Amino acid sequence: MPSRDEWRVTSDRRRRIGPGLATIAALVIFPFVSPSIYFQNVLTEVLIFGIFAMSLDLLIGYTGLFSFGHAAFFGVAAYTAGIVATRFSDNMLLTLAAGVLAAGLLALPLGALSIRSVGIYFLMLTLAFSQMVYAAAYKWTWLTGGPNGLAGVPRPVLGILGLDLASVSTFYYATLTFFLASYVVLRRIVASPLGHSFVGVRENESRMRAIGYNTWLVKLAAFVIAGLFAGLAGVLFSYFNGFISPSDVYWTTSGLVMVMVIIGGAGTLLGPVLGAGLVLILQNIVSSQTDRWPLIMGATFILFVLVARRGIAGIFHDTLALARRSARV
Amino acid sequence: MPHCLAEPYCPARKPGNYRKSRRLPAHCPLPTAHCPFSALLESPLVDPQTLSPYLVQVLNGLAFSMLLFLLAAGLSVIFGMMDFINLAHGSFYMLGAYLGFTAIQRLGSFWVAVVAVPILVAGLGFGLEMVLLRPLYKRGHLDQVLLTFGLAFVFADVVKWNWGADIRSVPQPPELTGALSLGVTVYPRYRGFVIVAGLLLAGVLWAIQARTRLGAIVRAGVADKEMVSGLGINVQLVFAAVFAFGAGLAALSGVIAAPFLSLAPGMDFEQLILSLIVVVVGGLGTLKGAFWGAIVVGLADTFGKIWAPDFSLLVIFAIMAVVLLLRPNGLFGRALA
Amino acid sequence: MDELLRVENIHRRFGGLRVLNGVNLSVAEGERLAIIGPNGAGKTTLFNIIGGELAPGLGRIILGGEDVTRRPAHERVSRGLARTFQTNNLFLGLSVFENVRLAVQRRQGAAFRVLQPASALTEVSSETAGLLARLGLQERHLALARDLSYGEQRQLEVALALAGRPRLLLLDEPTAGMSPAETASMVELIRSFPRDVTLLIIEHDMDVVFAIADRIAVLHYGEVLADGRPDEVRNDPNVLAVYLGTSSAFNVQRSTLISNIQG
Repeated sequence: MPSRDEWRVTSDRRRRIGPGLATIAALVIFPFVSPSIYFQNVLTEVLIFGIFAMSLDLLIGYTGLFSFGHAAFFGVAAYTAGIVATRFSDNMLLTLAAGVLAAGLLALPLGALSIRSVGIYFLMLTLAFSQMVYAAAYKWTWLTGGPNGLAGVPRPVLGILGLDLASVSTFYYATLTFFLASYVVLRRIVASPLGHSFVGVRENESRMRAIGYNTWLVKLAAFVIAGLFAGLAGVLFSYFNGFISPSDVYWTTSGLVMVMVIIGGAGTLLGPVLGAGLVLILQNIVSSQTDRWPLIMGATFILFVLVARRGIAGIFHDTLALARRSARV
Repeated sequence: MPHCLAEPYCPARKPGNYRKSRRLPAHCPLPTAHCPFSALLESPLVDPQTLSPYLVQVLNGLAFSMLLFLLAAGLSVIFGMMDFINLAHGSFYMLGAYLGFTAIQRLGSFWVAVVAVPILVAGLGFGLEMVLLRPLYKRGHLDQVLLTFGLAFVFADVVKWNWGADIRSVPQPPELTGALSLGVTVYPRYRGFVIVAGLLLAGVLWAIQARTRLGAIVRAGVADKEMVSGLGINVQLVFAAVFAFGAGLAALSGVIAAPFLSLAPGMDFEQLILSLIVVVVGGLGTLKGAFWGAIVVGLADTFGKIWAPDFSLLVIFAIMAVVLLLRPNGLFGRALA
Repeated sequence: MDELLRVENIHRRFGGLRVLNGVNLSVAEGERLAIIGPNGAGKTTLFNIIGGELAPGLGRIILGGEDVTRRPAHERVSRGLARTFQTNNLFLGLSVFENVRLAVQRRQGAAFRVLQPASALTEVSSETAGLLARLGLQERHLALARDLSYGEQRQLEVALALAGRPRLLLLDEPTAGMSPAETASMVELIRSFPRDVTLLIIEHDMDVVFAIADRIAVLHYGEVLADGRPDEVRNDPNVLAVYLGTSSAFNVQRSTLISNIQG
């Protein structure tokens, strides 16, 4: 019988901790090195969209469910947190819980209905549902502020710790904490038996059924978990931006996060975070120079799909493999 | 004095009580508003005076359906043959409309535009297929979907760059301005042209696919690509031609739409969404599905905008969701591989 | 012995084509039933209906006394059914170990655990390793399924089915495309199954059928032409006329194959 070490297969490989710790250290030190508010804000936004992109990666990369309506959960959570904060209380626990819960509660029926279809039909159904959420955000002016959006969302208050989240750095660290926590939890999920079930459904759904899996339930679990984390990103976004509008639920937002996942590298969890970073930083640079950001983003995306389909993570992986092979020679 | 519309048919009427003056018959105990028969008879099916607004809207819906059909036909056949959804299809439509705008401005002739622009866009489609899409065949259709998604973004921005973000309008060709008389009502001649042209094109397309060798090749390719290639037919060329033809049809739809819909950024996405719904509702891969799906969605959109203007898109999405839940492959579609 | 599986009056058509036309079968616990018949007779369709991937037009499937006709495939698996596929239906992008682990974690009810990494579930890993050893795949446990040889892939097919510890195992042409040596070891493996695993096998290789089967059912154009012990079926005139043409294939002696295995 193989020993415990020999059992270790590709997905169980223990990740080298070094680079991870170095990155975390860099992220923590960053505000001291570069106290510029602008860069801290950019990085905060990258971390928020990083969580959003990781959540979609769970669906696209790990379970093989190409959802084109993920912005629905992001937006619903953002709006819920904003509405609670502007009308009832700006307590962080309350707004956070309300937002994430709203996203999860929406994911259940939407997922249950969409999952019965596959491929392009699934894509269309998820798009349809998220456009319905958009329509609601647009029309229900009494709740959401309509096309003018919901403004004046305050930074939340966490009484116990006495933190002033209105400060850029403090908010950055709070977001970083949420990001790291999300990353750790999602890593755990992906390595767990459920995570392996996701991959099994992606690889061969009919065989999964033939070995006894209720694949509908597996897919629904992926959908809801992804929705919850997208909701977390949405809540953080509403704190960060102070303002939510229907365009945050529009198909372009779903498209944007999908682009982040593909460019970063689907199925790697970290790749999409890098994708979020690349896209947002590029957007900031390009938009300040020219109006042609959609053109450049589209062209970049096409380039990646053509030559670097496995994204930035794929490029890293291939370069490392090449380096190892030539080192051996 | 108010008269009861139901009077000639009223069961309460006794023979001999009917009065030619059409005033309330003496026997009627109910005022007009409360007579159940009166409500029935005010329906457009019976009373010509109320027929005309409905007729006009139905015709409007059909005109829109024809535009959708031209788009959906291309989408559906491309899916049937090559197994992927072209998310840049709305871009071809938009390009057709904007190029048509420029062509009409420069050349002054709508008819030249109607012929030249689709050919131009078809050529663009041909080139695109060979350069960008062909390398992705081996990788499965998902990658092609992603690529066309990127293309849609690029095209949308190119159009905005070149023509600006202002809303444009295109004048109708002088031969088709004015109104037709339809007996009970009048109807804009141009829209009548759209309906007739659409039906003619539908007929031509059906004839091509059902009666010609080319149509047989395309249908065979939809059913079994490998077999067709084994028969010595250059499948790659057929794919490129089908893609180009689909792009041309979409552009034609754009040129025809230009004189009665306005041109604005975002028209590509709106039309793409609707034609995707058409294709999904009708069923992927069939011309018949594209036609009937277009009728359903076109009418739903037109009447939706009248009855529930804020929710028309919602209604259409709801119809699509219901159809998919009951028939997961659309009305006439085949199952995904 | 109790009846484990009853196939009752199963009809199934695809468009105008009647693939199964009133199939009736009864399989007792511990029995080994071989289903033979020319290509297109409906054998795999029958398996798809028993397994739950396909619904019958008419008829019932009764598993262990329970009518499972309306039950989806995964529920039949939890009731003790497992199957292999005629063309390899594996998780090609995953390693051999991961392929089998997926099946084992399902059987052990651990499939929805979220909090621990899968590698920490020692019972799952040890059962997986044991199963791989039993099938002779332990050397290749890290290889990706798509990198295996055809014969190894067929073995993996069987491993995936066995992982569920089924009481009814449907084997769809387990030796298809195998070399004589591979076939012989597959036969040996099948013969090594304990009698609490009931077997339903589709096979074309008559040597294999005679080495394994207690009973043979002959399927022809969607109907059961004959159903009985091997020597009965071998001599059935209908079967000879329709399926074999000449009787030469049936005359291959079972003993020849057994002596090959025993060396």
